[in-house]
Amino acid sequence: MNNRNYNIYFHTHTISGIITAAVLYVIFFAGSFSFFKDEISAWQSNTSQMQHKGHHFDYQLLLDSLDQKYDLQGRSLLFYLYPNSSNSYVNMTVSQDTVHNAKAKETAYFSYDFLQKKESSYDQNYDLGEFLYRLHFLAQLNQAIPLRTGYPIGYLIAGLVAFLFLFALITGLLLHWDKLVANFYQFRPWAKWKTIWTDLHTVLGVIGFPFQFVFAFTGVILIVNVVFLAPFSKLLYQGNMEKIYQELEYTNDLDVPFLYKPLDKKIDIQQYIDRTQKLWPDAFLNRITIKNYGDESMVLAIESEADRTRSFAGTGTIAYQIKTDKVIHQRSPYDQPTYIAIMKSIVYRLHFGDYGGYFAKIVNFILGIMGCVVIVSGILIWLVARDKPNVPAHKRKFNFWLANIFLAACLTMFPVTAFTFVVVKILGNADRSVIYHVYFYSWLLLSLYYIIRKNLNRTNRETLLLGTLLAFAVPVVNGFFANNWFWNAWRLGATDIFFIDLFWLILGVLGVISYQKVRKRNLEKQTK
Amino acid sequence: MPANKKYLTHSILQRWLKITAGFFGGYGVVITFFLMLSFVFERKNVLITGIVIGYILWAVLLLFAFLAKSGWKIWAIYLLLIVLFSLPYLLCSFKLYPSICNCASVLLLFSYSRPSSNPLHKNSFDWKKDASISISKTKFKRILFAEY
Repeated sequence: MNNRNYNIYFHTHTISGIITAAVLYVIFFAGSFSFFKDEISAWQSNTSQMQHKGHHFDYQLLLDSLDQKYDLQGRSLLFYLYPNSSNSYVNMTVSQDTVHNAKAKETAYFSYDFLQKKESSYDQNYDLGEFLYRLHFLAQLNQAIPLRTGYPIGYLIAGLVAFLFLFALITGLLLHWDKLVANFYQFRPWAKWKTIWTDLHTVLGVIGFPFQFVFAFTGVILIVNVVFLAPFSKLLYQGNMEKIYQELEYTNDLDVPFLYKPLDKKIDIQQYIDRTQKLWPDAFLNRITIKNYGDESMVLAIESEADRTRSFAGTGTIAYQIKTDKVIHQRSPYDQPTYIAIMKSIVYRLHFGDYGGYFAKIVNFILGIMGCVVIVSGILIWLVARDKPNVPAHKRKFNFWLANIFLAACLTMFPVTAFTFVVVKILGNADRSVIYHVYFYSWLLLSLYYIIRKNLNRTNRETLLLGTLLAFAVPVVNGFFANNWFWNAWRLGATDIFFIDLFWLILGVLGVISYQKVRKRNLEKQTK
Repeated sequence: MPANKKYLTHSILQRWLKITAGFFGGYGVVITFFLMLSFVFERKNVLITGIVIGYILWAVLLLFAFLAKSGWKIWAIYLLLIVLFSLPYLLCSFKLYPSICNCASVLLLFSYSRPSSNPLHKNSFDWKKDASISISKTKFKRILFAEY
């Protein structure tokens, strides 16, 4: 490789890396936990979804109670359902029929639990799983920064960071290209500090490269596909963004003209849903649309995803006209999927890691945390490489100041996350504002403390110890406050709750081992 | 061992030219490249392909801009590419060469669309013809992010 190119790769890699490091760490850390979003939700609410797998969802009961409360005549309803969850979101529009419906102007958007048969608002239903999931694309920043950009600011920042990360990955790979094979084996844990950081960064970076690359580019796509699509909507679709999303199969909403003639028939939605489920065995019905309820034009549309062991990318839709009992449109999820469905499925499956059960999720989690290590070691290389007598004092001061803040903010995430798990369990029912307060304030306080202490070694050691202790506390409070001791959860078949406890226990054990190593190392250094 | 300064760009103007060329120029090249392809292949398939590989292409173009010897030169190259790639669109929309607009429909015959084997399809309506389809932006956001 010529020297000029090498140094350009080096420099652009360093700059894009140091700009994105702190935010990227947050994304990686929260994102790694998000692989277990469903399990965390089950853990927090003490309701195992595993225990109730294959539970029958009673739509008729829900519709009847909604009918009494809001009068469904002339409305359209949308149900969003999620795999491994009895929780759904229901969106109810205004009624087009103002003659027969006194409450026509009212709308509703709420979440409904099919198991507990209970309605709740989005805020009430917000849990730690949702919080960590949304933190990993910086959704909380949308409200925090009052900047109107036409697109949520948090998502834009997350998108930009993911894009720069993609760039840093490409330059990083080119940088190490010539000695790629040698780098695989080059780990010298007993050498001096800078060598250790460099080795850690290179070895884990090289091993984790395919994983990180996949997450960088699928992440950019998922969070800011609007950046790519916006010009096309202007140029090819007369500015109609909805049309693009329609064509790319993101949305599939039908507009059926309202006839203003009440339907003279008993409406049995349940029967259609059962029929559809039988038609496509093991398919997951993820969106149910009822158009013009109680009108002669009434249509029921069901969208589904294929059982992923049988079709990787299949998505299906079916629409019934209630009046005539006829199927007016059908595409089976087990048909040959379209090119669009295949491409999108690749992106989604790869990013969500939901193709291989717990094994795939755990591997993804480990690789995600390895990404965190690569980022932290990157920051340390950056600092140590510039900590030399020939670098001016003010620059060295700035470098230390930056690394100090970055490490304090990043490394405190581990204890803060464990702490929030503990608090949420002790409080019993924690909604959105509680989680926000506990997580963000404890994070702020703890990082401020370590920023003031100005000791990188101490930050590392103490956050590790604190996180480890709190990690052990997670299964214990789950036992004390919810009686979900390991053995109880296991006996009841609540494998998701059991998994989260076991997961924290293992994190705790790993924490103890790492802490021992760090301490021993530190003592050796002091005696030298 | 930070990068050897000898090989890096020292002029601030040059540096900004390269950054802007890579970021904005690179973006323009990616967009117009897929715009051109949309006149050859079926539009929605081009779009989804663009979503998947467009960002990687953009990142590579950003890197090329840094590797360039001169910021002016790389801006010139990217602008030239942008103009070149948007030719089919310009020719079509300004009716300079209208038949290019139909070129896509000819090629459509060869692209990804095959009749379904499912017999139920035959007596069903055409989804697109029978129901004009609409969705509001807020609703779309809700679907994507389960958000208000």
